[in-house]
Amino acid sequence: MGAFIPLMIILIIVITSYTFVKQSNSRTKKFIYGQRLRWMLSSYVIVLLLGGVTFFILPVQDFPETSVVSEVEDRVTNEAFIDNFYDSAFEGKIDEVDGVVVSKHLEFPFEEEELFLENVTSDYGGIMMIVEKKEGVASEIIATHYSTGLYIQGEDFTEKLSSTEITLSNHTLTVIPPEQTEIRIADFGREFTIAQFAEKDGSDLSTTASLSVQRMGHDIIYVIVPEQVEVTSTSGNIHFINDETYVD
Amino acid sequence: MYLTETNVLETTKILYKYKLNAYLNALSALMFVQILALFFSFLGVGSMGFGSSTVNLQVTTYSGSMVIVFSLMWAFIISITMTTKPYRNSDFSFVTNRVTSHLSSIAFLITACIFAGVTSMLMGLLLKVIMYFRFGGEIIGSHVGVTDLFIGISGTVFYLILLSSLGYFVGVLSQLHKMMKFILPIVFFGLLFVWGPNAKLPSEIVSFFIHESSLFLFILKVVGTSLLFYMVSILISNRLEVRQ
Amino acid sequence: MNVIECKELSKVYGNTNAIEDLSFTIEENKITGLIGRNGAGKTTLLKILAGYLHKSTGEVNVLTEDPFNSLKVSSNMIFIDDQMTLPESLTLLEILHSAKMFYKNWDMDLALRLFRYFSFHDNQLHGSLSKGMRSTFNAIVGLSARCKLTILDEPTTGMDSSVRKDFYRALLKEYIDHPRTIIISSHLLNEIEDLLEDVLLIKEGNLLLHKSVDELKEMAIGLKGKSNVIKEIIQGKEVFYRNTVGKDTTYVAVENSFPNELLQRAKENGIEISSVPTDDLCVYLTNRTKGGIDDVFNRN
Repeated sequence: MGAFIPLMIILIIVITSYTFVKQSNSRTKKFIYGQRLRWMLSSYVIVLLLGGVTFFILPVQDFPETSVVSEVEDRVTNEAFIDNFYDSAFEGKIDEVDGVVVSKHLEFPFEEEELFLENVTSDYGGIMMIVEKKEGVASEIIATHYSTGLYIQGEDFTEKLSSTEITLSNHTLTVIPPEQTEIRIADFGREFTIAQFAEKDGSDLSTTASLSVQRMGHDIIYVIVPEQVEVTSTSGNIHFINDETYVD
Repeated sequence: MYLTETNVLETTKILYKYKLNAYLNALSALMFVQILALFFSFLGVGSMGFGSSTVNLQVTTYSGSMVIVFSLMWAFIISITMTTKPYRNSDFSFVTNRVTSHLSSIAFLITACIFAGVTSMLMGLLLKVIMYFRFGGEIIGSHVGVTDLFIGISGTVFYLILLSSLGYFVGVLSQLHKMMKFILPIVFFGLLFVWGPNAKLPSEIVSFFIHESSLFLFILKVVGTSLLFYMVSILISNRLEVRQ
Repeated sequence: MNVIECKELSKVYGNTNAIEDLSFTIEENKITGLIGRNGAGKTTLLKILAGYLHKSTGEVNVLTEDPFNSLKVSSNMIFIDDQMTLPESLTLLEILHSAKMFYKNWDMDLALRLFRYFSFHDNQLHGSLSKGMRSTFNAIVGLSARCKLTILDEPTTGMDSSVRKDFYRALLKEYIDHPRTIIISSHLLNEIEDLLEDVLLIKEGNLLLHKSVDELKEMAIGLKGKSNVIKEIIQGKEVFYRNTVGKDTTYVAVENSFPNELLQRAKENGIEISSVPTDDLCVYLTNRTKGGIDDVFNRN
């Protein structure tokens, strides 16, 4: 961006001087003058006014009026939340965490004795799997994709995240992490002439120069299997709770 | 023919009306500058990226700030231009003296600054409307309320007036003598060089304006400063000959 | 009432005197021709009168005020020349309407009639006019403004002769209908002679004479005859011009202060007596040397 600035200055000077400074007695023909000039300027103003009106009738819910989150507070609760997310998962209580997002929930009927887990790693890394052998669960495997969601500047973008693909066939439960989701978001900054005089707005990226991206990219695939099933795997990043028989 | 009577106020008014007509192309120059700035603003004024195994997030900040900065440069340049020979001579083709010529030019420039302030803020909104549709509503950041818009317009207009009065002053100085066109840049860059990048005075001057968070005080500061620039300009050029 | 009063007016540019110690007055409602060669200081003088330039020393009053920075002078005076700067973004018609705002005596009807007569178009731009057309347009503005003092600095530059004649006629008619003080500068007198009442002749920044056209006509007499006879007659008289024609014949333009009987006698001695056309006289007076260009080649 910085490299553009000198170029822009030169351009602007050339254009301005070309259109305005030329007040000589030269006999060059000019095309924009008189009525045509007035007509052009009026259309310009009308387009701008229409733009302004449109701006104010855009659906307001997309613009958080002010989501003033104290940054420090935000970060603390954010970190605590994520810690809690993992701790609870390892304790088998992930479904009790407040605010956790269930991206996918699958139940497969399963009568076999053995289960092979395949945790596919993509270019961007794999996804953590936690396997719980649970008493009282019979003839089915329950796989749930829990995630922390995605909140940016207090806005919920969880829906944008794609979910993991989970399949079961021939004793094998395969977890394929999603392609990395590309999310492009526009941040509407306040012009410096507003930011200087208006009350401080915590969500203003251009003034705070930092973005609070909360709970991004924390995912766990939580798999519940019947107690008697023997689980094997050659993939990494798989954790077991309540299972001492697991052999790597 | 009989003698006609006139006074400073009346003549200034007529000259002002005349300039609004005659120098309307200053506004078309502004229009081009603002449209150019709009295209540059499509690139965003800042961007941030985040990545994890599942998400790649790109946040681009859009605001009309660049349109305002471009308009500020425009204000500076047209104010210098207004002090140049063809423009001064053009007044003297009709009825004027040096004071009325200056007063009407200043009134014209202030009007142009108000126009530029309003249009550059509206251009900022237009930019956001365009981005809203391009991003399909994936928007974060702050919503500009009507109050904010008025604050922004006032702030922008007075920044423009500040730059315009500075340009006018520089323009008048450079008209005093042929050599001024060489002396002024030498003095300017010489001072920059002598002061060095960490000099206190220039940064204090800048922060006098940009760190003023009260709009009211800011307007007072700008009015005071530009009055000073304009008055000194009128005083030092009141003996300037025209149409030599 | 005197519209213009100058006393020992001088203008110095660096080391050169553009005009020097000019003293004259111009009365109300007279058409005065300011005649001088290129560089004689005509434009400088007119621009001081218009309030564009400073005087260096002396006194200048236009409508009883120092014209520099005077609104009264500016609003009652119009200065027309071919350098007149007019905004490029206004059409000719818009310029006429702008001028109307400035000059209270402005006659739009006259302006438009002249505008049509000289076949201008409403949407033409001043910058795109040819030199002659520009001068014509400026002259229309000058006449229609009906200012108490109208200054025309070489107004006919670039005009062709029929337009020039039309313009002078329009000027005269306008003047008769609405008398005002008009100064026309020119390096030649012949075309405007019939128009003028007074002539202000300047040479190298100095005032040579300020006379009415009638006085100017009577001022000199032309004598042509044998060189030795001429030489005798003009003894003690001011000679404005001398030219040797052929072997032994001389023509002189000489100050007209001969008694009638002397002229009578000269005629009998074969001297041709003629009146000196005023424009010739002006040329003689403003020449830098006595004699003419022929003298440059006649070195005997």
